Amino acid sequence: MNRVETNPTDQYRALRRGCGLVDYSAVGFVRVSGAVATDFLGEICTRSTDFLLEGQISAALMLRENGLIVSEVLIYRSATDYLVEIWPDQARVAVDHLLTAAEGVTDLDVTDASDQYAAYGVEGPAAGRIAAKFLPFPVASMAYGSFVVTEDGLAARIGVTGEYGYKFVVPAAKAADMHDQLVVLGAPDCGRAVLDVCRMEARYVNLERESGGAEVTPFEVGLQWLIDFEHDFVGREALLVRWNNGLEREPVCWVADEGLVAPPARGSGVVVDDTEVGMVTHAVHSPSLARVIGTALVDSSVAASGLDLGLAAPKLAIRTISAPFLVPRSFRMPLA
Amino acid sequence: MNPTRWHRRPATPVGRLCSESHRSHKERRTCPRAWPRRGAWPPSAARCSRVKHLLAERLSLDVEPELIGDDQPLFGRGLELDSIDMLELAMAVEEEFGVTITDDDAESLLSLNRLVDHIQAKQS
Repeated sequence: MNRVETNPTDQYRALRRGCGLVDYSAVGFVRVSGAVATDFLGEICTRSTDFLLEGQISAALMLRENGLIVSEVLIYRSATDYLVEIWPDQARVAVDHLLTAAEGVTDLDVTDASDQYAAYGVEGPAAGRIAAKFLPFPVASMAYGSFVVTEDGLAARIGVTGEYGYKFVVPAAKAADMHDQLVVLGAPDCGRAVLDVCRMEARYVNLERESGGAEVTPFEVGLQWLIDFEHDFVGREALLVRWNNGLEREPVCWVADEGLVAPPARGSGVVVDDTEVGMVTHAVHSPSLARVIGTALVDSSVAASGLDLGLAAPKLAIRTISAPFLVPRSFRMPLA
Repeated sequence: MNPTRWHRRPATPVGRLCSESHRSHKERRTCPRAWPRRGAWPPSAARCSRVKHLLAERLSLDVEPELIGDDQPLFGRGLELDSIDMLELAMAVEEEFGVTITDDDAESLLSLNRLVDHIQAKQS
C-alpha cells in the first residue's frame, strides 16, 4: 500500500478544497440475513428497516434497554441481506451487541464480517470526480444514502464532512489495491484528527468524543433525529420516560473569541456570569474559521443559538451559533 | 422519493405520550433564568417550535416535531429532505412568516436553527 504522508494542513485543504482519502478499515461490519432479518434490525435499531429498499442506506442508533447509545450504525440493504457498518470506535462493542442479541433467534444469521472487508472514503468538493471512475452511470445520478455493487465491492454515497462523500467497501484482499487506486486518482491520505475537525465544522456528531467515552442518550448529543418512535425498539420505553421527564441539558454549538487558541478539554465549565450552566463536550480548532469551535451540553434554559456564554477557565467568551459552523464548498458546486 | 424517511404517516404515538410533560418543558425554555444576548436576537424557543411544527405538518414528516433537533441538518443526512421538499418548505415559510427564501438564501436551509435565524433576520 502506497501511503502518502502529508501534514494536517494539507490534509484539511484536501478535504475542504479537493478530495481526501480516509481509511475506514477499522469499521465493524456485520452481515444480517434470514427470514427475520428485517424484524431483528427493526427491533434492535431506532429506525425501522421495513421500507429500506435494495441499494439504500439507513442511519440509525443501537441502544441499550436503558436508552443509552451503543453505537450509530449504517444499514446497507442488498437483495438478500443487510450489511451493518459500525464506526471504528464503537465497532467491537456494537458487533458483540448484535451477536449477543441474535443468540437463540431462529431463521436469523448474524455474522461478524469485519475482517472480510475494508472501507475507504473519499470526501471533498472533487470527490465526485474520483467516484465517477468506479460507477457504471453518471455520478450525479447517485443519490445521497444509496449504494451500488461494483466490480470491486460496494460504492456508497455517504460522508461526514458536509462535502461530497463516497465510500468504497471492498474485500480485504483488495484493500491495498483500492487504496492505491484512490491515491493515484488524486486523493491523499487524511488522518482521523483532521477528519474530526471537518466533521465538527459540519456538525456531524462525533459520538466517541462528545460522549467522552461514557454511554449517553441520543438527546445529550443531538441524535434524537435518528429515532423513529413509530416502531418498537430496544430502549424505546426508557427514552420516552426521559423525554417525558423533560431534558435538563441539551447540546449547543459555539464559537470562541479570538483569544482562545487551544481547544478546551472536555468537561471544561460553561458559565453565564459566574454561574455554571454546562460543560464543553468537544472542541477543535477550525482552520477555515481561524477560531476554536465546539459543542457543549448546557442547561435547557440557555440551549439556544445566538447567546453569549463564557468558559470558566480560561475566562473567555464563547457564543452559541446555528450549525453548521461553515457552509461546505460542495453546497454551491454541482456534481461534475 | 426515499421511503425510508419519516414520511407520510399519521401522527406519532410519542406525540400523544409526550404532549403534556413536553409542553411544560418547552414553557421552561421560553422563560430562561439567564438569557444573555448580544447583537442579533437569539432564536426563541417558540419560533423554533413553530418552524418544527411547520416542517412536520407541511411535509407530512413522520416525526414528533419537538424531536427535530435545533441544529439538525435538513438536507441529506438529517431530515433527508430533497429538492421538492425544499420548495414546499420555502412556500410554507412564506405563507406562515411572510419571509421568502431565494437561491441566495439557500444556506438558511442547512439546519433548523439557520432557517429560524433567517426568518428572524428578515422579520426584524
